Amino acid sequence: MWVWLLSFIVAIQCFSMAKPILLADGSHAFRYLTRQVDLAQADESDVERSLDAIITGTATEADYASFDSVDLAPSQRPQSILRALDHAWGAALVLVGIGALCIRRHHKPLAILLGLTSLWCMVDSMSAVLNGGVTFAYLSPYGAAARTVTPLLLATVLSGLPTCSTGERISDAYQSLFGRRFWLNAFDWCARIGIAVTFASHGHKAVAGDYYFQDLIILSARRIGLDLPTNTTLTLLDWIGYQDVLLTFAVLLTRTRWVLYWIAVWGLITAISRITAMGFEVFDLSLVRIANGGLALVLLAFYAWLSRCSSNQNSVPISGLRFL
Amino acid sequence: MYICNKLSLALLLTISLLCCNGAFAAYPNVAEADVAEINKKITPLVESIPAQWRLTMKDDPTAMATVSWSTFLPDGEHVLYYGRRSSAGDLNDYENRVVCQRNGKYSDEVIKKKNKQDQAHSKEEQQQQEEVEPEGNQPPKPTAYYHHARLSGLKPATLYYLTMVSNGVASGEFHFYTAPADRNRLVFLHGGDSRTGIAARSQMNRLISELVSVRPEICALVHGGDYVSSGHSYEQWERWLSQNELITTDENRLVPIIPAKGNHDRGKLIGEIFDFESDGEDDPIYYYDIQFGNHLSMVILDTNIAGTGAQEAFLTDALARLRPKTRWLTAQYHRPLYPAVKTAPAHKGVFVPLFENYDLDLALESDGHVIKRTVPIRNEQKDTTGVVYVGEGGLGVGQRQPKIDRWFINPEEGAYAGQGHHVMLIAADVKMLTIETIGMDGRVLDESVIQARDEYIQN
Repeated sequence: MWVWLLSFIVAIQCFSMAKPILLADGSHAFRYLTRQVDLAQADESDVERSLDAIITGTATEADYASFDSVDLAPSQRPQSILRALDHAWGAALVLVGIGALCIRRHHKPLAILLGLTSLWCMVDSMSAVLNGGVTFAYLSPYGAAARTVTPLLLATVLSGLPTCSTGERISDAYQSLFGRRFWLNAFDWCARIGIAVTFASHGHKAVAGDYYFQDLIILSARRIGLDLPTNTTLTLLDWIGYQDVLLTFAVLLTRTRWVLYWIAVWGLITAISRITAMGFEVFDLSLVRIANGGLALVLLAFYAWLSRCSSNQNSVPISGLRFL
Repeated sequence: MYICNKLSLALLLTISLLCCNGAFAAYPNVAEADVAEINKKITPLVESIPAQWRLTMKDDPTAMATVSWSTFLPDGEHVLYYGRRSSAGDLNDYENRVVCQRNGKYSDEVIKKKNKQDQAHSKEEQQQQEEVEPEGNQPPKPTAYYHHARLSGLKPATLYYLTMVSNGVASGEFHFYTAPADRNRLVFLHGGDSRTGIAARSQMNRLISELVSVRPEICALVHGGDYVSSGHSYEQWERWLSQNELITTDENRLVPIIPAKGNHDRGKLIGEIFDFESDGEDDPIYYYDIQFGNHLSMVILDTNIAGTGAQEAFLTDALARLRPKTRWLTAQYHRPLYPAVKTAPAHKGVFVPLFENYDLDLALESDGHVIKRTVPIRNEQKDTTGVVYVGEGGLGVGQRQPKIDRWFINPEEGAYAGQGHHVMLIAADVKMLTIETIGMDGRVLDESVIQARDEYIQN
């Protein structure tokens, strides 16, 4: 069950990550690289130095002449190549999503692609920081922590852990995982840290009164006929922020079922708020956040499976699981 | 005679065809201009010489304006002399003298961050750096000083001459026109996104300057924001400010700017540059409305803050107040609500219903780095009574490929989408509003007309 749920979440995430790449302005990484290519082609550093000399009154003829060497219509070939690569990666994400949905067996190539997806999530969110231009852009890698670890978790399951043989059904394979305390703990901690970091960054943004969250709340409330005043919304945001921070600590310090249910429900509500506020045209913004709540559901199913195995084998592989 | 007639007809037809194809530029062509020559017009920012001058219109453009400039040194008194007569070199000939109401040192948050990092370095690290780069650590570039002279009580559609004086050092004489209050025609330029492409920025500024020279009725440049890549960086703003001098015409006419805030224009500097001031510790408010008599009104919005709350209240109030008495109602903001490349921001859910409810005629957008003109939109579909959205920024920044499969920019439906550095020339007459998209080479890339709404045409 938990592997199925994890696969489903990864698939949805991959499809929604592919949408802006294939149908809009590309990934953050593509935009960052394109900008770097643009800047390199324009050779702005020389021109900037020349302009600075003009401003400080120390310009020579060479400084003025440097502007004439700027190629105003440079070849767009590097940008086209980057665009093609970005599109190729977008298509690969669709394939990874389909693979995650369909493949229920130990599958190293897919595991590698999932690992790359995870790495790409990290690179892309870091590119968002470098691109800037968005409030709290510097928090992007933290906000994307849950969606970054999710493909990695599935990759570890599909990567053929020592007991899995090629072609073995995952359901059989992970039965044999039980008892591998290190692996189970690593899976558990990765998921919890991913959730915690995401919630911590969201909590920080909420307490700081992020205008985007404010719009999401007010516009979503209007869908159900509620007209929330700004002050009420900001107070609400404060409480939401504190709640997120509380959940951050709770998920890190405990393995409590109701905390995970709370995270799952709240994570999915906040993801869906993009649609409720802005309509279905931005469905990808909601779906790409499915891991924020979905990962908690995976953990619940994972713990349930561990509990079942524990009762069968009379041992508990993860400390604290008894308290679930 | 018959052959002559045929030949002249053929010649006429050929010329018409060439003109239609844009072989002859309708406006000045700066694509091949010598950028080095253009940049020679930039005034060095040294000592107390007034430089980086600009004219901003934010309140009542028929009666108020802010003349701003920078000096490298803060010393002395900073005064603006102005009047309806040229002084011919004698400052005492001016009718008015105003001491700058706001002066200060430009902030540089990047330098502050750098200084903090520098302080955090251990002595050993600093020593190591000095050993490796004995001359590499340049001290942070000092920031210059801004001066704002706020003028009020001006007469509409009037020519004013002015000279800026800092610490006894006078600039050359400039002039500007206040906006007309009761005209039946208003012409202005719209553009955005000048944050990269320094050479192209000089050329686009030159294009603006030449456009104002050949079309003197142009009353302002409506700038959609993203002036620089990092609004926190004084270094970047300093370059923009000096290059912005280039929009001044060869006859020394200042072109007023009606500014909006872009997503890259964060930080204190934009407020210091365009004289946005906050009452307390909060950030200044960057949304406002501007009225050109009853002929045209423009609501300038800020897509960097919540669309709901105070901004929504302002927008609702402004549209309700302006619509009944205004012939043409327009809006300007940075992030596009019907984007040709990106995805729409949450502001769409707030702004669009209000725009449609109050029959906005035209929305000016930036941010996407493409050329775009949508079909008129109402209720998420093409509707001749809807709002036309144009943009999306090309005053220097590299251009992107528009997504022409989006229904609202589908050329088959009468919309336009393309790419290239551009500025839009918007002429609002009594019955129609014409939008011309002009490329760097002076060619008109797109031209369209919006008919005035019957219920407001009498305003």
